[in-house]
Amino acid sequence: MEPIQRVTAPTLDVLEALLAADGPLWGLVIIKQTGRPSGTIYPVLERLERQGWIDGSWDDESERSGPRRRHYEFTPDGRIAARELAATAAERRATAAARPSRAGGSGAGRPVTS
Amino acid sequence: MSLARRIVDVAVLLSPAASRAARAEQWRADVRDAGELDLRPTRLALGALTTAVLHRRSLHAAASPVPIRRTRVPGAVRVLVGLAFASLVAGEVASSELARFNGTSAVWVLGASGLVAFTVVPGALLLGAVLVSRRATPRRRAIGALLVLLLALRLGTVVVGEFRVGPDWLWIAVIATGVLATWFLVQGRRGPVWVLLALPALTLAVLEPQSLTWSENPDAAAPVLWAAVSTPVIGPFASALIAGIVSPRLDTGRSIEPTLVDRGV
Repeated sequence: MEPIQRVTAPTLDVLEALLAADGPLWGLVIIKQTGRPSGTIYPVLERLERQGWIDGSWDDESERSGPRRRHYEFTPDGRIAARELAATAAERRATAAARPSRAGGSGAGRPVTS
Repeated sequence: MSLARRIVDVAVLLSPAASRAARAEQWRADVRDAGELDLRPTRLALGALTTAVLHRRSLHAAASPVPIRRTRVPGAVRVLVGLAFASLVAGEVASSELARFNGTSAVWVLGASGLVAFTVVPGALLLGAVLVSRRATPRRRAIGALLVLLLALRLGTVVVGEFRVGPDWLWIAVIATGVLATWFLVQGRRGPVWVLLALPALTLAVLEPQSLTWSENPDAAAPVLWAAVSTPVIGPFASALIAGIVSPRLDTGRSIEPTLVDRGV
């Protein structure tokens, strides 16, 4: 498995969507859940698959004819690495949210009294 | 066949050969079933198209012993081609100003300068660009050089009105297309990139609707000829330049040495 050189927000969204899923997830569902364009998500999925983080597999639903859907799930190493990345990202978000805002100047946090 | 499906088919066509089968099946299935998730098939298809154009690494590239390299044009070539186009524009501007100097001695100077700027200088600069294209084999460079010379010569005869066979606007489109084809040949472009050869003719058809009408009497079409030897002259060459710039992205390429930097999405 190759490491991701630069973890972008779309990549993180894809990893989090896959972590939240029980089992293989249809690529289109990932696009839907992340709310990002397909032109952003398709390359992310291809790159993660190429780097060994996820495995792609074809839907074997026999009732549906024609082209098959592609599903994705983590490889064992990919799942571990994704959890670490997601945990780090969550910590950073929490830190950023806890930081006092500077926009309100010295009055930040003080209740407004009439 | 729906628009979304057509767009997907183009996206598949533009994809690296190793990825086409998988992408075709996945994207067609997604476009077909987009309605189940309240997604728009056309938007999905456009995303597939941008993926095909901008992300050309095959899914199996890492497994390949020789990674695919995106062909790049050296700086010197870009400068030479850019200067050639600038000279073309300068020559066209000079030619368009000739009428203002009719009856003066300046008209000869302006005319000669315009001719040189429009034909000789771009031809020489393009010839230089071909000869310094290190990625081209010597054979391709030789063929390219010969073609550039012939095209520049023909452009010169069109401008001075010699060897008139057919309308001038047609020759402008042919020459611009020929320049682009020569470039693709020298750079060893492969795959659907050659579709871009249609751009100069399409540009001329858009800029000069009268060019769609073939006149069997060149003299009777003189007003049309003059209209063609104005902005519509530069348009085909401009579109050829743009096609040359974007062509590396459509090149299905050859496996050579390392390596693409994996830019994260």
